[in-house]
Amino acid sequence: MALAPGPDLLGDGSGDERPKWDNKLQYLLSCVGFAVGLGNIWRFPYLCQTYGGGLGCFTVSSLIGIYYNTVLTWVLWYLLNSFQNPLPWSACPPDRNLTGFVEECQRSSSVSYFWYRQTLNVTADINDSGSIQWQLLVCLVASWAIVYLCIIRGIETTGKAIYFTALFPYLVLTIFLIRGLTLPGATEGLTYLFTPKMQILQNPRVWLDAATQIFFSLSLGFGGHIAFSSYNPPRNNCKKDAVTIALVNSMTSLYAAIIVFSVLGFKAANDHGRCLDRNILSLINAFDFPDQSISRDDYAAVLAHLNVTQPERVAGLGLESCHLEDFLDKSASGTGLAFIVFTEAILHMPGAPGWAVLFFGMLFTLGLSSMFGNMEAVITPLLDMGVMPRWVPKEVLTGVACLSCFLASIHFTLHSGNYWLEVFDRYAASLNLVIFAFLEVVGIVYIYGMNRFCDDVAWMTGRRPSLYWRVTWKVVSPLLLLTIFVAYIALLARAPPSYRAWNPQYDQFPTQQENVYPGWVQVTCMLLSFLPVLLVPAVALAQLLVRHRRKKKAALQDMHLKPQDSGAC
Amino acid sequence: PPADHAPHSSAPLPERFPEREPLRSLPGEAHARGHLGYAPLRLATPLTPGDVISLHTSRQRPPGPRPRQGLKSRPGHAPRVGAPSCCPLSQDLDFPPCSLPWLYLYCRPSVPSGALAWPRPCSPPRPTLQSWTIFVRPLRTAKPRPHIDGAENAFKVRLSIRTALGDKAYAWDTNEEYLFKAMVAFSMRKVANREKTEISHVLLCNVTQRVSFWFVVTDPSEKHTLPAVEVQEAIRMNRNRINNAFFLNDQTLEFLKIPSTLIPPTDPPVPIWIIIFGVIFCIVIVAIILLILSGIRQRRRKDKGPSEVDDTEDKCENTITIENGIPCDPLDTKGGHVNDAFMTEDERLTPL
Repeated sequence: MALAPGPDLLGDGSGDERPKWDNKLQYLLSCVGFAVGLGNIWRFPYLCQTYGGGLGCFTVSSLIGIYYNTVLTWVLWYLLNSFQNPLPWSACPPDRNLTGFVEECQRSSSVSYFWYRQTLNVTADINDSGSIQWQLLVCLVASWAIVYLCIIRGIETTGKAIYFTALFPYLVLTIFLIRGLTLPGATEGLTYLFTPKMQILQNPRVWLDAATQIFFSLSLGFGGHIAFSSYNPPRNNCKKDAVTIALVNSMTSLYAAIIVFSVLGFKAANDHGRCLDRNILSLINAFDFPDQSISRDDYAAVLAHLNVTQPERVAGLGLESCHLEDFLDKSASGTGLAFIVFTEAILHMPGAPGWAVLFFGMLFTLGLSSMFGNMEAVITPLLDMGVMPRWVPKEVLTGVACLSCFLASIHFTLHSGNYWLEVFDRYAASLNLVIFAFLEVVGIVYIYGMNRFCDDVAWMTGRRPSLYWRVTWKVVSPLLLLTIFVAYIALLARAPPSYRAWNPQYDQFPTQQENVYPGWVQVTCMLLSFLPVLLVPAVALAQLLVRHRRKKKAALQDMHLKPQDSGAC
Repeated sequence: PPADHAPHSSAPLPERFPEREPLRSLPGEAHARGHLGYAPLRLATPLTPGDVISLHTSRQRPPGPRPRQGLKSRPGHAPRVGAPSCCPLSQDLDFPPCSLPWLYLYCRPSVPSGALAWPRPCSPPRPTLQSWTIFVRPLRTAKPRPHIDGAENAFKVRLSIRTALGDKAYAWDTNEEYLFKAMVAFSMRKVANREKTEISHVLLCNVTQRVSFWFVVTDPSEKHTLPAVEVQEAIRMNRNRINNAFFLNDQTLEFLKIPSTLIPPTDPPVPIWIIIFGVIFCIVIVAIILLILSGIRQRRRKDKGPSEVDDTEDKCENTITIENGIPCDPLDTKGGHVNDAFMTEDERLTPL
């Protein structure tokens, strides 16, 4: 009997065995770090406020890896600019003859000007590409270099880096919690967060947003979790891991929401106070009251008195209406929250540069740990498929992957880069993931077989999954995913896709101008949405063909063998 | 109704208001009391220059005796009927300066010139307007001066002393005004052809409780005012000195219509972000190189590894291991023997 070769685990090139996590903590932190990303900080709180598939996965992950790092580039740029006092976004720059401020800055705000003009230098139209912003390019190089440094040897280096990148954000969040809760106005923000608006909860859109948020927040469908888990020993309590990761992710979102809202409450109170101060100054200047004679509390009474006695004069002043609710309602999500709202809030905290450094450092490490998952989802399939010959070391493979993603993401440093990023964010990362997750669930439960899967789980964890798991896998999850998918399609089909452009020539500037995407961009959006999904049936077809051909070959060989066999004996 | 209480038709104003005035305490007693009415003004001593009194009034004027006893008008200050002695009414809230040197009463509309009087409507009467403040200022000189129309060459100044200094705020009085005039004259003297500007050529008008006023600069003949452009230029050049004299800044000492020169941004020769970027990038590159080198070294060690093991085994070949006093045959691992017992059938036969 021939000695059967030892069990060949999906080994990588040089014949060494599959890498392993040093300890369970590294694995959990990696998954948590992958799941907990920028979305936990800036998407979940926004949603609270407004109402309170393998080759496919690989494609999606690479698309996302390309544009996600651009966000890291912006965060790095802000981080590098935070090491100065006063912060560069605190004041408008003066114009050429030094008599006033730059007009664009004066009409919007110094924070918006710094973001749209001095960072992005954005054009007014997606068609207008402009040239490459060299400072963003330099930061892009740096962020890809940092990513490469951390994933250079796969999980060997990732596992070490993750200790810092997964835990540092929690430390900073706690520091911000203490600072945020002690700021004036924080309680208003928190009450606003936790007061449910019952009529808004009845809107189905709210629940759709909630479902999509939790789905994307866990970073499902990317293949990252699968890649990370493949480095675990086979007998592993995956059920406990899954529950832990999901719980930690949700708790982090809630934690972040508390912090974000206390800071937003502070900012709203601040803005409200300044609105009152501007009105008080108008009154004092117009009616020649002594300086500082009207306090914020007296303002309402004084205004009422003046409205009765001299209404025409008061009307001619053009006073703004200052309500705290209006300022609290000014919500923002995504890059708007981080780069505009939060940076403005930080300006008013004492010791602003320190807080800015902490905040952007936290965002950077959060994004970095999510990038690890993305790049692992790209590199692990490449390694497993044996794309490179065996003698090529892993460092070269990761280097090539990082380099190609970097070259592809140079496009986002153009002047219109921000608009392209929105395109990628909205179309590459949404529908595909829902479809992949749906196919994964359906494939395992209905095609692989629930019983077989339960047996595997029993082998790994020692216990069969309970009724709860089986019901959710069989019914609830597919149904929810299907609903999300249908709702997404319906929303997309309702209106031609449009985007918001920052156009200083727009007459309602600083409100952003709503433009419709030109035709070729719409085609790109469609491609981004459906190409990764189409890979699934394409690969299935290819595998079917290969198997068919192999069967034919085997049948032919059998036919040739039979006469020989009869001859040998 | 008694003089102490006046009927008020509007909501009471905050208590704090009346306490703010007067800007300086009067010799003798009194300042107007309470928002609900006005106490009779009793002055023991005659008014001195620079006394500024403000009274808070409500909309309806009280019938009743005008509480003006004890006030003496200064000689020669009889009200001039028919002369443009009130500040002219204007639609916008910034009253252009009055015809200056004739005016010895800087007033709000609806107050007649002359002695400090309870607000009486000026002609035309404007009952809707309230009188907030009444200022009394005696003429500086006895001889009447020609009317100077300085409206277009006058500038309005607004100070926010309490905003700038908080508790350390000083009161705005004639001494401060004198300093202001000195600073303006100083600024004008720095302009070519205007080196002979004196403090007396700077005229202030219409000082309000806000602390805002208008000023013009006249030429030595005191017949004309200097053109606005020159004054603007002079003030702009010396803005910093003027601000510092009053412990204020561009925002708290405002010259309306004179734009201040903003401080140009002081950019360091190398932007800070580049420096920090350079530091981080160098560290990252060094770390990458180190990791790559250590990876190469590890691989080289692994490749050398099996051959090194062979060498040691060769060395051990000639040593005889002794166990329990019995020498064991050393393993001859160099050549590699095939143990026939373990040879399999398949390997004896040639493969297909």
